[in-house]
Amino acid sequence: MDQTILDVLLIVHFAGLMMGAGGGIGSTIVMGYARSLPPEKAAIVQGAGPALARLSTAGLVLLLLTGGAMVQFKYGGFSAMPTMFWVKLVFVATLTIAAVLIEVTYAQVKKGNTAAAANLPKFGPLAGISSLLAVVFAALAFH
Amino acid sequence: MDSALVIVHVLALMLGSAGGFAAMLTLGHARPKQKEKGGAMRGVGRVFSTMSLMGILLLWPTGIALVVTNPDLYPLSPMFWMKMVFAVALTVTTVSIEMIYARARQEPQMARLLPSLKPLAALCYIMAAIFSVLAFGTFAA
Repeated sequence: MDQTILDVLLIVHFAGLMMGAGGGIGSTIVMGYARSLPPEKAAIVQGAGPALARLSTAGLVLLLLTGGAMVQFKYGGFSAMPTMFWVKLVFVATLTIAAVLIEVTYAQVKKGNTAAAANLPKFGPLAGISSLLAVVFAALAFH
Repeated sequence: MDSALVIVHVLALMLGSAGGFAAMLTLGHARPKQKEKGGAMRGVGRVFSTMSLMGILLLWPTGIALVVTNPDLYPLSPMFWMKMVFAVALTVTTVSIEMIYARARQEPQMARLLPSLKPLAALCYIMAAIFSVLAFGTFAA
């Protein structure tokens, strides 16, 4: 595989990591900040949540696509991957589930089911801890 | 030890870039009145800016430690120095944003610089990551 293509894949992988972190951590900060505000101001601040969640999901999609491509092109497939990589994948899976649940929740809120927003404080930390552990095991697998 | 440095370096990258990207997106979408004194978005930018600064403060010592302890994995190639140009630009931009927030109460006109500095910080993160990959390949983290 051409090294240039692997470099491009890794660059996009890092961009996905930064977008995912930006959306995920940003969303957690914004929601936490909104709790310290009166309801009318909190609603405005919380309005940034869906855009941040979309940024996070877009980053995650880039991570999954480029990660899968690098495993295939650089290592010749998943069978060659070390144990730590599989532990990383567990947390990638929980991160993906959390991201999907956050997107679904925002879609429900948009349709008028405001009670669904009560689930966001559970899904946000799940995504945050999952991404943190995915990075830890990625470093242990590849460094 | 090396793995611990890489982990902290990548987590710092996530923390710093999260502050940069989230600030750009959140404040970019907010209406001007919401960012003025008494507006709902007033205060969010400062939180993101502090987060970004914390990321930078972790990136520098872990990055230097990685280069010093693993000169074979992290050679000081021209691409490395390109990365350093953007790392320095990022640091200057982030510190400037933090200083503007600190002085904004006394000199409100300084806040006008923020809409240009925040995208610049995000761009510097992207460029530093690109040259990091070109300099170190698989060990870019």
